[in-house]
Amino acid sequence: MKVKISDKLDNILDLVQEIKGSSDNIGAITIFMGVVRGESGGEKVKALNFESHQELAPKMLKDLCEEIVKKHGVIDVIVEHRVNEVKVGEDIIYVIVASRHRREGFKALTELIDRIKNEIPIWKKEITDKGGKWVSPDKGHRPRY
Amino acid sequence: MEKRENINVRVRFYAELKDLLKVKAVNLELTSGSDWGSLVEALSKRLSNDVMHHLRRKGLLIAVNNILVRELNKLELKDGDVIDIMPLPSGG
Repeated sequence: MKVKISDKLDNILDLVQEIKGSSDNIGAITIFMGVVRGESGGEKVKALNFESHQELAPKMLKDLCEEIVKKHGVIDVIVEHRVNEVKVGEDIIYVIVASRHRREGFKALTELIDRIKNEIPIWKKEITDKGGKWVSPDKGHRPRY
Repeated sequence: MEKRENINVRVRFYAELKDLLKVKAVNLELTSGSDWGSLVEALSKRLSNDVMHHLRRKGLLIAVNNILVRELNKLELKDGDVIDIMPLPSGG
């Protein structure tokens, strides 16, 4: 298992190779890549700027990954999230789940992404021509703490 | 009546809260065992009345010494505590 919150992501193909090496029983690898979109609410976005709680975020992310692995019976998980400025088209986050079968992989991946967005103390600011605006949490946000 | 001693705590703000309050962190002197209400009151006196409005909004993440506080009504502060006041997450 690996979690990383940093201003630089590792190479995605290297991460896939890394997670494959964790077991011979992997039959599926499901991946989510979050990318900075160039438009939001009708406005042109230049970049996103991410801030995180340096001590809490990695710890909570690791705990969350351990919970997801146990809950869904998947084999391994890697999560990397960028902080500071991320330009349009650049990758923000990689969430990679290795499992025996695709069914539990998809379930684990979906829950993990949703809970990262709702629970891990990372915040994003949209940078547009009008300046910067902090993004509100997803509607219907209900953190589990 | 037992006199409660003074304690020194540090409060840190994050993301939108940091921008709205125009401060990253403040040191406060409180009395030992102060609760959330006392902390907010002390912050309002130090910063501005806007603080009350921002800290009473629904959905804040609070941590003390890098541990999430799950029951704010049971908060009892002690000397040296570092309190993080954060908006709800919006990463990913």
